[in-house]
Amino acid sequence: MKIEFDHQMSSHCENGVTRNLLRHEGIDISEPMVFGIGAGLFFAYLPFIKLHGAPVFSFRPMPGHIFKHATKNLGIKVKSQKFRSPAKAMAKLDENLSKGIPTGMVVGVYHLSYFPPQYRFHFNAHNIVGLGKEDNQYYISDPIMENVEMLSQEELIRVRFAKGTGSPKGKMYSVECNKSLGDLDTAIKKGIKKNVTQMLHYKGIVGVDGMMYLSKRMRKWPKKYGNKKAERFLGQIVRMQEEIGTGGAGFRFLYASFLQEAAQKLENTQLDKLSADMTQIGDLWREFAVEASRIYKKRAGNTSYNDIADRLYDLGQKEKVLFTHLGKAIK
Amino acid sequence: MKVNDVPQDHSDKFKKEFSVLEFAVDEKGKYKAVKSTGFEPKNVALEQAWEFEEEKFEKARVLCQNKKKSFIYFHMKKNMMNIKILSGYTGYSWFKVWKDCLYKNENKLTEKELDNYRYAFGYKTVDEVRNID
Repeated sequence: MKIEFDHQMSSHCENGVTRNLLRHEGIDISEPMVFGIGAGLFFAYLPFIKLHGAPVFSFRPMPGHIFKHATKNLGIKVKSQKFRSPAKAMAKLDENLSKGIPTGMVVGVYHLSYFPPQYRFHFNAHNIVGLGKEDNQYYISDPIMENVEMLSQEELIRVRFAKGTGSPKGKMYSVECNKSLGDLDTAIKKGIKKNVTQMLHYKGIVGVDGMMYLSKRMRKWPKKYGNKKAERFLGQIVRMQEEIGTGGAGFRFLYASFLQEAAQKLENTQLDKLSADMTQIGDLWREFAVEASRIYKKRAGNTSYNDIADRLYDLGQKEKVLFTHLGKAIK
Repeated sequence: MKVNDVPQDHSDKFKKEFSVLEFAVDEKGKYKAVKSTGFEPKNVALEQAWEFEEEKFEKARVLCQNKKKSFIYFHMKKNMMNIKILSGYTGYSWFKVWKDCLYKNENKLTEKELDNYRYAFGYKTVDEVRNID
């Protein structure tokens, strides 16, 4: 048995799952819209968490944040559960599927057999939707993949109960009630407000402040850690910035697209201008990645860590200005 | 970013083609989704991350061959796990996993324990766990 489901590819798994689930309930909404309403733009530098021998840089909020805020701001009820026992988790999933409810699940990427091998790290916050079961095989809609994939029961248990940092513990969620999209305007405003807060008003290692802090620390990397390690750190930034699950420049374009759509919905020309600014910032992030890659490809020429840090500082300043204007524009 | 500027770079290291969705501006200034096969700086960063991992498990292989560490240790490194992750998958305490990583305990593992490790690594047969090539 397989639930009729409109599977569509997306650039970020959580947006894609949220959009696909809402679309199934008859709420037609685009991916950038979900991203914007869910306040998905973020930055954090986490020097105390190490991944593959380098600190973690996050261009996305905590896993689950986008789904939670998007549904909350749109006034849609969701049901979310965590489990201790794999048997119970699978039984609940089967029950949902037999009722015809497509169910979102949080899984670890490493043991996902259909995933491209180059992306299979121990990353435990990927989102997929279960669509149905046949014999021992489950139909899986993964927004990163083009088509609907299959997973065996054993594989699904393993990915749902993946271990390591941020273990998903069989988390699953579904949209409960169906509501028409009457108050999209307020939802957009709420989403923007939340995003302004998390970029401007969170201090320390998060948001715009976090970028400035990273740019300050970055200047000291080669002296403090040696060239080899510092190169790996830079590589990590670019990987996190451009990788599917984590965003960075891609997320800036996604947000610009959201602002463009929001400008039309709210009939606010200011947002159109800000969308163009955001596109420029995204382009600068791309340039930042190219410059940084010169260093770790050892074709630096005249580029030094100070230049990269200057660029990052500049990006921080630009985003600060943009979000300040954005906050004023929706008042 | 313009639609035509969406990076379409390929990497030699990864054989399986994989495209992702990107958002870019078309001629009229409207955003739309475009497929991209990759971005060169990211590909290089990804390759280097994998080289770093490969270096680590090559070191582990040498340790196994020198009879310092067991095959469990090698497969732990090969699957990019640490003792905490492996102990989570197997349900053993970290101390037991640490002990099983030593060469002297290699032959003391029971079939049931080996099967448990096989499950953790996602292999099909127990022989794959014993193999360090």
